[in-house]
Amino acid sequence: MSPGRLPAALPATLAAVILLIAGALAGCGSTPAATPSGPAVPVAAPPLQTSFADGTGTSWAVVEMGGSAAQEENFWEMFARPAGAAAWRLVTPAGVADNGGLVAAPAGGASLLTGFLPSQDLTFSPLAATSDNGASWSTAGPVNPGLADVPGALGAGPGGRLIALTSSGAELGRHDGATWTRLITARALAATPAAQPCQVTGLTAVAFGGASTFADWRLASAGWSQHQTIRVTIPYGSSG
Amino acid sequence: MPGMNSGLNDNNPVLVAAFRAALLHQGLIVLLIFAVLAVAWVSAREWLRPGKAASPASAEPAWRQLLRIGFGALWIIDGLLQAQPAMAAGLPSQVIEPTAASSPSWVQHIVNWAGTAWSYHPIQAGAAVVWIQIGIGVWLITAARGSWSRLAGLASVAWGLVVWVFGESLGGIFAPGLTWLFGAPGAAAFYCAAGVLIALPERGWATARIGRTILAAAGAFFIGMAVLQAWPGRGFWPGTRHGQRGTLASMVHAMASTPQPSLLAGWVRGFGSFTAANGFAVNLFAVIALAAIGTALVTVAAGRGPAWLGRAMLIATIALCLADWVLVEDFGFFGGLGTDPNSMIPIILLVGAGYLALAPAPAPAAEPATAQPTAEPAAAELVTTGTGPAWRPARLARAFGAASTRAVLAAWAVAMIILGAAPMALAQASPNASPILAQAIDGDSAPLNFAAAPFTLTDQDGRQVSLASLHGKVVLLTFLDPVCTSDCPLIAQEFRQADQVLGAKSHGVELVAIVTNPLYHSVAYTRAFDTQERLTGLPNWLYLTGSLAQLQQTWKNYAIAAEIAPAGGMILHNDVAYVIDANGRTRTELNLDPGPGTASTKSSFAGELAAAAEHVMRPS
Repeated sequence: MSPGRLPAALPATLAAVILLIAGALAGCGSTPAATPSGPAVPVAAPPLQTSFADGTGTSWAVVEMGGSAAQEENFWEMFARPAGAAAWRLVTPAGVADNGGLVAAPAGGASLLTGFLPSQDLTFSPLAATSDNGASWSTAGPVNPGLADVPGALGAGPGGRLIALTSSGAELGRHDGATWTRLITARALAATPAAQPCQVTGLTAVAFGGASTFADWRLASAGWSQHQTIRVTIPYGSSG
Repeated sequence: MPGMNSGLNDNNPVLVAAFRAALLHQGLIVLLIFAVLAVAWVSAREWLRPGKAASPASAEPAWRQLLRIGFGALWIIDGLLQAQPAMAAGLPSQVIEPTAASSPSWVQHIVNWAGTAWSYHPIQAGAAVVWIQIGIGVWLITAARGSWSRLAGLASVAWGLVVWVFGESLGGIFAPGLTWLFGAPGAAAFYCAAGVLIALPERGWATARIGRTILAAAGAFFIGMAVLQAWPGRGFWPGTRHGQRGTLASMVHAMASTPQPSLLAGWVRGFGSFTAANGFAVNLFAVIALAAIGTALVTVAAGRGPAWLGRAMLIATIALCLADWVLVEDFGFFGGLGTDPNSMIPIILLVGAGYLALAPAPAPAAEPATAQPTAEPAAAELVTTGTGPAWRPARLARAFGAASTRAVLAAWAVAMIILGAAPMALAQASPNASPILAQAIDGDSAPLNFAAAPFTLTDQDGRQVSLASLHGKVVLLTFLDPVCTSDCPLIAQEFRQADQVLGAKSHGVELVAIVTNPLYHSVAYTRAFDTQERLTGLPNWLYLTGSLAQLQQTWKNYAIAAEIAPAGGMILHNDVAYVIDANGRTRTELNLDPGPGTASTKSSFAGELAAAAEHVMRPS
């Protein structure tokens, strides 16, 4: 697949809704501007969090450790607690230094995708995938350029598709990391009808459309008053 | 300030030993030059019977003698301080960088150039400064008169400016917290001022005008410093603020905490506590003292005031400067890598010289009788009555024999300066850092000679590459983890720089890396690494990978350990490079732990790699 072209093998019916949370200046109101530019499909909650439960009831937590004043000397660990288990297990994927941080994206069932944020001289993001609650991992990716330093920088979709938020914008790719296609940049998002009333300053999370509804995931608490959820539908599948 | 220092430990044993060795070698050469000059001079006097040196028209005035000998001694002390073992590696990080830290970015940019140049060649730079400063000191002390003496003054100005700009960040005059108490505007500025006075022509010595000018300038300086000290909002008035020490008290306490004899630390700490408790009173005293001395200096310079004022002003200046030197500046050279006694002694010398210069110039006097034989014709006569061009060997030898002891010693001092500066100038001509940095991190390379183990792996473009297919070229082989966050990217950059160092010779060299991560070893990762390290356009770069079994066999053949660290850690593997010659034989093993990965260490490793490749390219 050449850069900039979409995979031709995708089913014609599949169109994704990319949910982006954009950091915006105050003034565009507390009601999220939700102006879909494509078919209205329900979307999943973007994992703008460091702990969550997946569809099988397994709880996951990503924790920063070390407590060092020197941020680069801290490290991150991932813990999992399967449904019904009493104890948390350390399940951090091996092979990469995770001083930059970890992001996790549920990939359906007991599957999970983890991305390593860039740190020191590593500028791209290695990925690791598990389908057994973290007992074993396989490599995926990489995401190049590296994932943005936000918990919701990675999303897993059907058919091995991935969506990643990088320093360049939102990128669409696959597990093998061979090719990434630019979906949208912060500047392009700012120009959409949904975002025009706001002053978009950056993207903070991405997610594929899924089973849950958008309304369940409105970010309206005080702590997030400067964030606006902007739902942009970007069809990435078409019949070949 | 990126690139400012090498990042190596100041007391790195390899650097310390190399610095000592350089000083020892150059010291022996200095002694040898002295011996040769002495023998040649004595021989010329004995065999050629030259005339005596021309008698001076007038004796050197006391004020000039004070400046010349005083600042000559200071330069020698500074040179000896520069010979501290940790100076070669430590000056950029311990002296230049902290001094520049509070200055504006444009000052840091200027200073960074010097720090980088030093860090690329620390041994040559460290030794150069030692000999230049001792040389200038000896030159000033020995050359009492004539153009040689004036040139010594100019040398003091020139080197003082170098030290003031690069070593003292323009004396910190653009940094906040500028205060006379801590040596503003930098000791080297006073060395420059003294050098200018020493370089004045003899006709300027005779009048009292020079003394009035020195005292007027010193007075204006003191008054200006008093205003600066009194200026509100600069933090000098309160002893404490919000429970924290004020500016002056915290500066004094910082000086007290540096390594030094406990007695001195006790004095300084005590004064710091006193300042914290009585900050306003201490600053008021400093302001009044500076203003009073400044006013007295200006008054004396104008020829007004009572007769005793000049002497009182001098005593007050000496007392205030000595008190500040001991209690605030902590003698200037304590605390890590002190490079000079700071500014109080130079100020005393300058004010003292100004005071002495107010007196009438002394009557003409001859050089001491011991300096030259008396029964010989005058050198001036030899010059005027000799035949042929002045540079004729016989005539030069005669003139040399006629030179005074001081002139010979001055020539020796100039030779000392050249001896120190020449290796640094030669080193600066090379864009690569000294190989001593790589050796300081990883030691020497190991010469080998055995057939390199074969391998066939996949490059970053998906092509099969075997070692056999690279025969005919020198192979620089290393092992890199594509998702490594520290060492491997640095080693890759060293390889890229080595390619630049090799220049046209790089056509005969293949730069090869093999993946050392048992988990992340797909071609997608080698490509991502190449993009990250800007290696994609390098035609002789190969980043090879393969199945885990293939990789493990290769690691085993090349004694590479690749261990998976506990969660959150990088793959543990050795940082090493092999140099494989055009016939497929391993000729050298280089340890490539990149150390701090600064610009100078990367450059040093790149030079080491290039040199190793060039070595095996030469026909044996």
